[in-house]
Amino acid sequence: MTFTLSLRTLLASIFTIFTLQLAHSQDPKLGEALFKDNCASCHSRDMKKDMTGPALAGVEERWAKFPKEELYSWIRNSSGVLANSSLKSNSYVKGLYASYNNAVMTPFPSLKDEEIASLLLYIKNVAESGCAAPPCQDATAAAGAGSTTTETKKDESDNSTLIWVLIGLLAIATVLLGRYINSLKRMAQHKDGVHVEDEKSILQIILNPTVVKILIFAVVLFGGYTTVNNAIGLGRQQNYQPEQPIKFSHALHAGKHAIDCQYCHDGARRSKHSVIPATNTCMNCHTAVQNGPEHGTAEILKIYASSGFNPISNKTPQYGQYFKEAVNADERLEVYRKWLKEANKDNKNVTEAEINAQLNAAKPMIGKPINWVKIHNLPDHAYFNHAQHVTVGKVACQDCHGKVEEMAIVKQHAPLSMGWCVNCHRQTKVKFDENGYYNAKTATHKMYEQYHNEIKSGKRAGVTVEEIGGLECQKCHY
Amino acid sequence: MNNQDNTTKVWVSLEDLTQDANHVSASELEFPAHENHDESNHSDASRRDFLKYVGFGVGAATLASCEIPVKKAIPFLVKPEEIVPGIATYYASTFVKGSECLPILVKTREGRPIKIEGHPMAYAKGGTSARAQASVLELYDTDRLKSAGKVEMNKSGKPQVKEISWEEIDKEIISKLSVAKSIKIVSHSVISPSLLGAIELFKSKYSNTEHVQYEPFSNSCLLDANAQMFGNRVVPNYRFDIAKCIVAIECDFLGTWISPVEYAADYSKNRILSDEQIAQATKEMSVHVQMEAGMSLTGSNADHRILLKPSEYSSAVQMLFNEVAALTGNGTASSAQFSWKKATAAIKSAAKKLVENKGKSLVVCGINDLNIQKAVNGINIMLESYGSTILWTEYCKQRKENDESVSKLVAELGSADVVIIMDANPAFDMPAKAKAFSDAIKNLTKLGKLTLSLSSQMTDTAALCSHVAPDHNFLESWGDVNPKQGHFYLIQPTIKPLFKTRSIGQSFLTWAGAELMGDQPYYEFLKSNWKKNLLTAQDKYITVQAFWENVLHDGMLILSDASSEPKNFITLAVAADTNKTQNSTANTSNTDNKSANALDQSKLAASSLSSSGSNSKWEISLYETVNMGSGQYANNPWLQEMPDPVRRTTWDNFLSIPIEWDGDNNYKTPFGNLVDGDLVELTINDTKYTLPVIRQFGQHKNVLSVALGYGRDIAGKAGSKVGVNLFNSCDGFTYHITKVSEPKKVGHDDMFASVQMHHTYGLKNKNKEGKEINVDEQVLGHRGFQGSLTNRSVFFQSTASDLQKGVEDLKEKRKEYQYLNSKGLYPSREEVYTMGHWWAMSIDLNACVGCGACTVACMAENNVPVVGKFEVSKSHELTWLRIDRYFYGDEETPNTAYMPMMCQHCDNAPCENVCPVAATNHSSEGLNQMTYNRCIGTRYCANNCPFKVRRFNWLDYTSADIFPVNEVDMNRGMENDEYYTYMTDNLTRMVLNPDVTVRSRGVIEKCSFCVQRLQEAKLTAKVEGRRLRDGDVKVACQSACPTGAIVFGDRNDKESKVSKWMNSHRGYLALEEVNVRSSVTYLMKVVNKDSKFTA
Repeated sequence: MTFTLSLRTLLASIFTIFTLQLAHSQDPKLGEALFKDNCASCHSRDMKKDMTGPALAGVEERWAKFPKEELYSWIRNSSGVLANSSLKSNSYVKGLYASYNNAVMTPFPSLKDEEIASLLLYIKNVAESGCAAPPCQDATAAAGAGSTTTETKKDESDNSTLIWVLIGLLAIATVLLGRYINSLKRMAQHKDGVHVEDEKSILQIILNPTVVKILIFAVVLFGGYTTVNNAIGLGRQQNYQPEQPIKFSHALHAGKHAIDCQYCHDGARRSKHSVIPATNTCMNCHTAVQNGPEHGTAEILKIYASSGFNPISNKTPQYGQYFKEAVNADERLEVYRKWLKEANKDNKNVTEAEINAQLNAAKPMIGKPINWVKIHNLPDHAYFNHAQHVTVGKVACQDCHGKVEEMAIVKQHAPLSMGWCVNCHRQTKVKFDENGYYNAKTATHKMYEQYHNEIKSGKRAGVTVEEIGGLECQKCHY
Repeated sequence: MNNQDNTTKVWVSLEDLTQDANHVSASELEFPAHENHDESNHSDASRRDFLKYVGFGVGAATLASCEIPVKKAIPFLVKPEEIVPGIATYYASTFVKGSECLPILVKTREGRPIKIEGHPMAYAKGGTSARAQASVLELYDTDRLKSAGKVEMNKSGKPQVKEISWEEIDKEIISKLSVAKSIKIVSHSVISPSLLGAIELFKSKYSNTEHVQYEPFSNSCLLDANAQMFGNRVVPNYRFDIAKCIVAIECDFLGTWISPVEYAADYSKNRILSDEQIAQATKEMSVHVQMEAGMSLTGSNADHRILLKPSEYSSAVQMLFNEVAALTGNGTASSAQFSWKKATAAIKSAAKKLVENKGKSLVVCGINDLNIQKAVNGINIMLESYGSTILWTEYCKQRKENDESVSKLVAELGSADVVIIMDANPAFDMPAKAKAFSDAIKNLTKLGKLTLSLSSQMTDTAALCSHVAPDHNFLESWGDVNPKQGHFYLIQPTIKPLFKTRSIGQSFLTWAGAELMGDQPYYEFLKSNWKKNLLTAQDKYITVQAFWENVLHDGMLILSDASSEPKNFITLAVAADTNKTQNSTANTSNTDNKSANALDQSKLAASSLSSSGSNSKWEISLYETVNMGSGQYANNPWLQEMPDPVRRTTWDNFLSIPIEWDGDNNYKTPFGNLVDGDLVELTINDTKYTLPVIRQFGQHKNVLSVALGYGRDIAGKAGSKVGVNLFNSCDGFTYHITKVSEPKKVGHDDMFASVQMHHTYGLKNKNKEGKEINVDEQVLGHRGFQGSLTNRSVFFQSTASDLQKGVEDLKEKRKEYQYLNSKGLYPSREEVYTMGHWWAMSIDLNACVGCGACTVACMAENNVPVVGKFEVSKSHELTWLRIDRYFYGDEETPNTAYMPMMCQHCDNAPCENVCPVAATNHSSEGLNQMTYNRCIGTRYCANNCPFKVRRFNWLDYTSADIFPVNEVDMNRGMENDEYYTYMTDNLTRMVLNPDVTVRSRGVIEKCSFCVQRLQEAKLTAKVEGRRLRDGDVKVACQSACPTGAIVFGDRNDKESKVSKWMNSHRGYLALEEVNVRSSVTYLMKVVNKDSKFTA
């Protein structure tokens, strides 16, 4: 019994060790990273839809009848498998290849066995749970991290309150002590027979003309100060965070998917305006990405409505087609209804009512550009040029716009006040060595030459915007 | 004003010469009080209203600041690849209006055309005219016709259009056309080959069609003379760049005659003198003699002027012909007597100069008289001008008018069934026939005949028509022009049509029943025309694709051999020519034979010219102004407010009257003591007119001049009833009248809007002790500051023969100033400015012809508001760039100089020191910066500016605030009492340059050296990672200039053009002696004047 038990225990422990080891070599996190880097552009992220490449759910089951090595080499270099007719899976792959318009999968010859194993595990996880365990954990972790940061912030503010409370207590203590000492003194004097005036009540002290005058003066001073300060702030809208017509999340796009800011805001590098992307820029990805992680089809439908994209089309299932102008709004809505039903058939949360709600929300957007709410508003008499800052100054977007990649709803990070601009111009160093405009060899500018010499001799570390005239009125006002 | 070493007198106006007391006292004030400057008049707001508004304003501001309005950012649905919001896109196109055209580049921002620039590859070499510059505003004219329809009168008797859809109106028109026995098409010269093609198609469908082309300012006789003598009914290719001696007879070739931008560019080549040419100035410079009655823009630029009565032109041309004939051995000299005594000697001298420059001389004539034109051709033959200064290749095709066919048209109009009037206004501007034409049209309309106007505006003619089918604006439409032989230019749309209009070409194609292809049938038609006719004629591009893409990109195609111009493309044009003259291109081989024959013809013509003038005491000379044309620009407030260059008047036409001078300091007019702005009454060809007068130097003593093109009844909010119309009093297609009564004073125009005496500087007067002082610095003068120097350097000039001495004198003078300045209190801060960029401008006074393109370009680029006639009369005009006009020399026929004056960006600026809030200060790049949002409107700076270039926004001209009471009714005090505010309409506001702040009431503004362009050029250089090159920055006035008179750049770059011009021997700074260290260098004016010319 003991033996059996111990044997069982032994076996169990061996098994556990084995599985643990296996789990170690098959890291779903590694798999997720690999999938995002290499596979996500062609294969559906939920593993359930056919896109450029087939849905990956159940890939291992499909390959179970063939040797594992062949699946691995298929992933590494598909054309190799296709060419080698001696392989068992050859005929299967050929069929697969033909059904995807003879599109060759990108070869990944450097993938190691354990990496492929991780990838397959990740695919399995996602396909089974609908939500890949690691990302979900990530999300909670991120939320946790978020709450911890807020907590720390709270702690800091708690500290200051504590200090104020302490100061208050001390002040009260001081006053009380003062009065106590005073009373004791008076008692002592009274005892000594010295004439003592009546003690003034606190009210009397407060209503003393001198005190009143000082108080009025203080009120006026403080009032004026606050009024001026608030008046300066009029029209500014720091932290302005309006609701947008589409619940577009920068945290998802710029953060999680790490899409470069200038992929969409392509004016920033060359124009005054950063440019809000046209709807057809959204369609570059969203012809394929048809279901969002947070809002499902609801928000993506609005882009389709605006751009006139038909998500259901027989010809090229993964890309669809655009409606002809003649197709009216009602006909389009019917197509969208069909698509919504299809796309949400596995999701029990999306009821008929929900679909109707989504369609209603998208209806006014059909064929129209999206009316985004402008967040960053400069006064008309201030000239600002994105290209100057992004391309020439190489300023990161986040320096002025904050951590947009963490904002689900964008808000105005900076005050956009003149003081804020001027301070930055005082502190920021221009790209003095990099830009040919400031190059000493070609510049007719004596100033630039002098700065270059001073940098060379170590006299100065760099040149600020102010030092090349960046604080002059007509650099921004004309 | 005088410079003492130069004994020649310089003056700005008669007031300046006579030291008129009113004027002197007015000049003392920076902001002169005018009689009509009565604030209670201005608005109906009382003190209580003011308090109400203040209360409301404070409340509104508070409320407004509580809730910030939500702004929307609406992106493209599908972004066109070439458009990036915030970056300007340029399209090569052509400005076309009537028979006028100019290749241009259209600057668009966010899909809106906002500025016109010259086309550097075209024949005008990148220059523009004021009209082309202002044309962009017409696109956004709120008075444009918005749809096709039937013309009706509304309750107040104003014409309006009752909309009819294009399908319906087409049906109606075609049904009328198909039964019409006589169809007339009336237009200006049509220079578009494709449009002519469309009209040809129309004519082949409706064979009863006659197409008549006319011009309000006709050159029909010039064309006829060429047809009869050379078999070529065209304007030849005049080469002003080759001509060393130019005699122009009543011909404003720099301002309004045929192709002025091209001629001005060529003309200036022989007027600009480099330092090396100074020693040989008389030879290097061309001699320009102008024979005319009143002073024209071209005449004001001439070296010599010969004053003639219009009735004496014949005898003058005859005499010039005979003189040249005698000197070239082709005949004998003759002499004639002229009312201006010096004319005889002057014509002899002119003939001598012409013959001296034989083969390099040129005589041009703008008189619409066949014999005169033939005689002038004869003079050119004798001078061997053909083949050198007059070419038959690349000849001008902009004029096709025929006066005879117009007479025939008007006679036959009563029996017409359909009359189609293209972009023309014959009921207003058909000389002598306007009344007959409008009566006939009115009658036809009443009879239910189809009278159709294709104009995009409601005009005097369109109002009489039964229907309108409005054309696109040229910025919205496709089109082509063929202004010169072998030159083809495209018009391409730069914006989607704003209204339900349709291009004339498409209308004709539709009515002709032609097959309409695609969404833009006229574009397809034009494209196939070009491919069919031009692809084989050119040798630059091989494939169709390359051909079309490149011509579209360049907006033009110039055939390497102009005479290889495709015949069938021309035949379209020629067939449309009502005169049907054989249009063979004269080639050089038979020119000799022809010219012998032609010379005989011209001898005959010259001998038949009348050899004596009219006995009439007063004659009227009618002329065209550079801004108003024949009235087609009337509704353009930019052009209305642009001062006439010669007379410096705005928003009106005037009777220019001569000034009599008794040799002393005693000047008067022949009609007693008239002053500018006095109203006179006179009878011209039996019609009574009341006109304000302006006393004009250089005017023949028996001649009065009036501009045509004013006084339109139906032009729109800005243009209706401005000035007086004289087209009806013309004697046919001639522009002078001898039947004139003596003018009598009947009153004074309180709104006299001449800007000549506004913002003048450097005027002098005598103080109580009889000591000479400067008027505008009188107060300072009492205290003996340096600013009270009377000998101030404003304008320097010299003659070509004395140029070396003139240059030496100037050098001496500048040395003295510089010495004085070196002793001044203020240190030079040159060490600061030499560190980085140091922006500077140079203006060659010899190249500037005063055309005014720069002033309108500046308004367009910098959102400078229009203020209206009433405000101009109060000196409130806001132009950042004005052109000062100076007369000098002989009082009878003075020479004229134009001096563009804008902020001089003084490095030692007097305006900066006095600003209490530092709203104006200096940048390290040498710019005098104006920060509007800091300005509190004390106007100290304007008081302290020695050049008078700062302007104050008295009222809310651009509707920038919330109080409508501050807005300005442009028509206040005008006959057209329609309430009209400028820039309050969203459509008009589309023309605003988004890179420049729109100023509000109560701030000072002034020239910024186009700082937005400087910043843009610097940014481009930085983005490309290279240094800024000379020529990267072109300021608006510079790029608009047809003669290249303005250069701009970094003076720290020693190789830049501007630093070279600054160091020119002719260079000087205005008011250098007051040590303001300005950044604008002027180059001394030089005339090639011969002192013995009239002896």
